[in-house]
Amino acid sequence: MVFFNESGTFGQLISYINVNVTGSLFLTLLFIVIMLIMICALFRIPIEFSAIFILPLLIVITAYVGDFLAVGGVFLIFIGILIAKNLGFK
Amino acid sequence: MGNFTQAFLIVIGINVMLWLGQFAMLEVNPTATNFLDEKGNLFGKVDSGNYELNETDPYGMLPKGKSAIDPDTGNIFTDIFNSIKDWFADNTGARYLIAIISAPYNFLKAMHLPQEFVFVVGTMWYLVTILIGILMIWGRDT
Repeated sequence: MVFFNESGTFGQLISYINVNVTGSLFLTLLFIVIMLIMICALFRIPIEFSAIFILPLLIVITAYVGDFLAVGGVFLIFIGILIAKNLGFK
Repeated sequence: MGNFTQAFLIVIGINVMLWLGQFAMLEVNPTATNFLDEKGNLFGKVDSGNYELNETDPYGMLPKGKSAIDPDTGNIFTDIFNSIKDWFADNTGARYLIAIISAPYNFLKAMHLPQEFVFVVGTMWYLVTILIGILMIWGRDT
């Protein structure tokens, strides 16, 4: 676990979830991303706005955890389609 | 805006985000997985090396005609047919547009998703885009 600060509050949260709940860093990070998307859905926020938070998180995670490439790549495709929709046509 | 143009815009948008995402990942961690190369996507056609566009010959992207048939080699009938087919593909730009049919399949393969999922999504895109292309040729694009 070299890419986040394990002594910080959220770093400890990720470490504890990793050790006590999921047992795998990939599942922990997937859990965090799913929670962010669910929060947007619960508060009736369009999923496009969740990209502001999720996209930087996914880029950093995918840079260090290669298994996350599928999730990060699919999300990048989703953002690409959003950009095309908003720039090109209604 | 026609359906084929919308499909093309979507593929371009996906290309942009995947490229930017890859550059961002490599900046954060230079040893990250390099999942996208220039094969099978539209950006490779305009890249003259080292992620630069060719500003001295932008017309290089326009369709070109095929060279003359060589009567000394091959069968004259199949050579004529191939020459006509290639002439249409090159001079109408169809060869360039056909690249968007295969683009999403190559993206999904590059991200190492399960082969069955990639096949199903890629097939859906192939069939829909080929249908749109045929409708566009026949002037039925809505």
